[in-house]
Amino acid sequence: MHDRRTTTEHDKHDRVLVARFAAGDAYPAELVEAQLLIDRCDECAALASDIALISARTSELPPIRRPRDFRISPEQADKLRGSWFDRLMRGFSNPGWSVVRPLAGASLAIGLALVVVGALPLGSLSGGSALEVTPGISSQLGGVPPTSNAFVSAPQAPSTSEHQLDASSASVVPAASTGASKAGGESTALPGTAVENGGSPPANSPTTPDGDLVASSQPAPEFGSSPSAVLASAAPTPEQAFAAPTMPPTPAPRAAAPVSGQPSSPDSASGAGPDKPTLVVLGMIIALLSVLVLGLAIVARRRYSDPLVR
Amino acid sequence: MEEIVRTPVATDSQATDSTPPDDGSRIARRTTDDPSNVRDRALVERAVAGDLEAFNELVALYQGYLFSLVVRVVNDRESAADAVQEAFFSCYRNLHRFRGGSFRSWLTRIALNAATDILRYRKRRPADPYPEWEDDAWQPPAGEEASPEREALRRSTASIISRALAQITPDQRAAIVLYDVEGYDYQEIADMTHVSLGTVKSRIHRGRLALRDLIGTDVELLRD
Repeated sequence: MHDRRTTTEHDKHDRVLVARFAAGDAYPAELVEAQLLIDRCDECAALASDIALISARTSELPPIRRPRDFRISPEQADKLRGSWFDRLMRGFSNPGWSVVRPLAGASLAIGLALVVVGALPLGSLSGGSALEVTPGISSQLGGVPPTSNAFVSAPQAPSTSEHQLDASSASVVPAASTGASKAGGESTALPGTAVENGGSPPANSPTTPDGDLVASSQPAPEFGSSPSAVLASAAPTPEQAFAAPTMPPTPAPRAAAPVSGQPSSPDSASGAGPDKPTLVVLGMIIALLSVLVLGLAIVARRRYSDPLVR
Repeated sequence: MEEIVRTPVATDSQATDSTPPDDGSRIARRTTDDPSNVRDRALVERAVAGDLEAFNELVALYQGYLFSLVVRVVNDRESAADAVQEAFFSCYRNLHRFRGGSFRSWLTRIALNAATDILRYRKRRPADPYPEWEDDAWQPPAGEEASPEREALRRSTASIISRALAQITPDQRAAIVLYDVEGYDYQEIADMTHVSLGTVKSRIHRGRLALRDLIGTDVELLRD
């Protein structure tokens, strides 16, 4: 028997710790404390003993007879299998397809963006459109035609001001650079468009053996021609643009010179990207397909996923 | 590759011979080449290919075990039967999603989900349960060596435990049944019930404390 004081003390003991100890699940740091509780408190010792006994008796519970046979009949099996559409939708409801919904959502956004971009009156979608609107930008940028190739080679080419500073040391500066500085000087003297200046060729434009710029030997575009056409005539071909300034001059670039009034390459300033109707149609197709897949995924998840197989 | 699985594989044919595992044999390391796993995988492959007989072989192997487990969790024979039937239906529909491992554990998980659904439904719409411990219509046959007194004592013990089990929380009950009755280890129970290992241990220990409080002085009847 325990007196009141002992019972009160037992109430303060950690019963869960005793239960863990009885099950052999006590942490090593708790073992000493649990052992002390069982050694010094009869209630805790009885609790541990009872828990072990209950656990043992629980494991001896007899099985319970099933009330019926749970085997599946062929009719039930046919019904459970469902139609091909049901099987397809069940396939969509698999957890492995959970990535489809965010992907479909993303492609839907992309499709809608394409439709909006294609439908808005933003002008041509190529990089040259802005220059067509404000042709003066070309000269403000040092007279470099706005071709991607020119910008790629820009770090290799000294700026116009550098050319002017180095003009006195012409023996060191390559002939092409000298020509470029001349052209740049002209563009500075006549602030306007590169079109009006006949175009300022890139610093690494190919030159003739005499050091003359190829572009300067081309027929100058006529005033009044469309800016894009003129820009196209001023733009170097990719071969010209990638030619290093220090390369020995060869006559080959002259043969590769573009014909005036025609785009020199698909990447030239005239722009050959997808036109607006194509973008709109493409965006609509992507959006419609995305909506279809998204709808299928949602319906499959809501109606065909099995909550029991989580 | 090894996985931790319970040692005893109580199939329907063994259902009347319930020999609970002791602590030493509870956690046993078995390879995935365990005969029961190999047999189950072969049956699953045949069933996925459309062989209904193969699936019904699986049902025959596990229906007794599954019903015995679920009825202890839901405390209602009819609800348990419905849950087991639904579990087998669901298993048949989703057999292609079985990714290997222990088919028994996978099936148990489905059945426990069905049992949880029933408990949830019952919580919303309370009704008079039909506790398993009130059903004395059938008991496993006694062995030849069992005396009438011993058999009566065993029934009394089972009745006391079952009454107490019916009164603890469903989570604690499921954890104790899975651990003590069915012999799963902590990690398997955690996987089946979608909770952490610590939660499983806590449920088991607190559930045992609750059982002890509920059984009270009758605990002396449990001693031999």
